[in-house]
Amino acid sequence: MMRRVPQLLVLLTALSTRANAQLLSVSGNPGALNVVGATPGSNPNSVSNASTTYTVTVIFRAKIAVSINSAMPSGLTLSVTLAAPPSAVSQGAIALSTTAQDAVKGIPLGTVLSTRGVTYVLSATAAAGVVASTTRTVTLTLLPDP
Amino acid sequence: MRLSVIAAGLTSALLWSQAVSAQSATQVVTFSVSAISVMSVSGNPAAMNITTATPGSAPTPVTDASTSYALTTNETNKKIVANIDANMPAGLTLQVNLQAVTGATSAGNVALTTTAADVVNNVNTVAQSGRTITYTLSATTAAGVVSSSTRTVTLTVVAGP
Repeated sequence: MMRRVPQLLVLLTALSTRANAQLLSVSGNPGALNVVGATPGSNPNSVSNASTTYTVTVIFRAKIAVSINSAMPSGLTLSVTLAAPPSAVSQGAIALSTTAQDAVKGIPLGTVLSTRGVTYVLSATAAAGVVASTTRTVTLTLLPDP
Repeated sequence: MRLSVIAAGLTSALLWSQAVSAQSATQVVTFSVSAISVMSVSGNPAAMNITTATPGSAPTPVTDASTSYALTTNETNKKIVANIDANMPAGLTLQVNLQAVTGATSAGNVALTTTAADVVNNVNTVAQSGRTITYTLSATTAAGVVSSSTRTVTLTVVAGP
């Protein structure tokens, strides 16, 4: 039995290296978020998209941080909510900025190919004005969770 | 044996740690905000009945300030215009006065006709409600007795001058 332990660990190591690219993945890009209406007297109605998912596999306790590649236009807020794998904790809606923020914490050891939803919400104030179609790249990063 | 187990474990941990720390995935989010200009009113004002006069003067006007409007626009250089669906009877004047939203300018008392007239100017991006609408009904003595009648007042957000 004791002889098999190092063999198992070496096997895990080899698998981990080969599986590197599949520890965190997303299903694709969400559809365009277009703010088109408002209740008179209130800011424009927010719009959401929950059409995509992420899949995560971890061996160490981990967390997922989120950020965007450039700041949002003034008066616009793009939020993301990542549903948590079993026993992990979602941090709820995160207003995205260029600074990485934790979206899911405490992803436990042994989480394998757990697929969960990604929900985006776009909110605008009236002062934001009319905004032509533009894009932001959202980065989800898997990190050790101390 | 124990050393080999520890070594293999540390190697595995190191590689896993590197793998975990390097992992990321990206999504491209496309978004836009369309031009939005919407307006609503709180309801209809109460009936306005001219019932008296100061001797020697025209009948005393009556007012109603019980209703309000709400406006959201994410556009600039807009205005609010008002009109009625049919002209007033001879000798009767119905005026409307809209309290301006923040940053805009009220035109004050505006006599309503079937032609749209400016009532609030210089409207820019704003989301505000509870702005007072004041109606004033005036009559000359020549108007005579007028039975109960109605007019539909339309407020519209349009591009400014």
